[in-house]
Amino acid sequence: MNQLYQDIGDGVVVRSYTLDDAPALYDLIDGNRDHLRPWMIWEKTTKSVDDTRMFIQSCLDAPVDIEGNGIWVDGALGGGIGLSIDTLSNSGEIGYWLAKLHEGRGIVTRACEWFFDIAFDELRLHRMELQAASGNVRSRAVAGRLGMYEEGVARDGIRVADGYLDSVQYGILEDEWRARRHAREA
Amino acid sequence: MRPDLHIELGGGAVLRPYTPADADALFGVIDANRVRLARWFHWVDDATDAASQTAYIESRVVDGRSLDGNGIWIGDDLAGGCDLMITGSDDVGELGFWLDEAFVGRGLVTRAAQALMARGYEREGLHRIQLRAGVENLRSRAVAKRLGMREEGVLRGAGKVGGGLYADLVIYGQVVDEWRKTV
Repeated sequence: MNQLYQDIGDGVVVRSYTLDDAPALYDLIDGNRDHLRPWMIWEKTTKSVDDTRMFIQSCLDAPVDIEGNGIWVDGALGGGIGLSIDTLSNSGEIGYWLAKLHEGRGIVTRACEWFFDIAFDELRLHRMELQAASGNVRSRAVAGRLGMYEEGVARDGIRVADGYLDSVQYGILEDEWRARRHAREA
Repeated sequence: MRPDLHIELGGGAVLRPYTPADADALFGVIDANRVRLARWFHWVDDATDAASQTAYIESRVVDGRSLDGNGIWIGDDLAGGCDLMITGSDDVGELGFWLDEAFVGRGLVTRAAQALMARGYEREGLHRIQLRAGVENLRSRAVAKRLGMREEGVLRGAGKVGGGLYADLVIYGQVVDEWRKTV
């Protein structure tokens, strides 16, 4: 897919990372270590700008997935969002994180909504999924705001720095997303 | 795929990876079970000739972590397939399997899955192994129970099956501590 760029309002832009973003990405992660560590295994393995550069390069090299995108808030990098695609089941999975400073503005929900539009309208996926650790109340609230259905709990399905967490499985189907969007716009 | 994988399953059955020379046998068994398998698996639609199976076999990545691309063999007869896919950074493996109708009911898939699970936990450091089976695929779901897995939810429309259709999948899971109690 081509490089993404979208102004999603309220001073927030979502766009694909370039290698030039590696220092800003590292600095943001480094400034949010305590905030990220409980949920994100990559907090621990991100030790230098070389690591964020390698991550961005791997995203740029990926033939299908759209994993490497930043969320810019008032001009500065504030978080990340990625879409991985399972071509075998024609489904996608969204993942995201946000710096503590920007919580509570609905930023992640709006970024996800834009990605779901791409997933269902442009990529013609049948289903979108989200996995959230059972204790990650904020992430689970995003799934609820997106109209996703809680479908199960994969026990110990998420690895984090100090063990494994139960993974709540959320899903939404193409027709459900369209109906929800139609209701919202009406 | 692991080219060196070779597991005796008892009763003369062996689990071993396909080689390109197996493409004719693989296509023959899929073709003979086409209608039955298409209820659960989209890849049946892609199995159009032996060459399609050569392409599948050659697409297995030899240096990956996954224990995939395996056939269940009884002598020269291919009875089915059983894989353990390992992707991502969560120490999670996912089982998948299918069987020729003529070999149903002998416990072949259960034994093949048990062998792959033991390798996954012991040698690959997996913490969890899961299986997703069509809600109506009662045989697969019975295997999950025999393997000691727990039903954890229903993923709606998560399985692409033959004919461009989608099926709800029951997700089953087991963590390594539970497995240790069963062996």
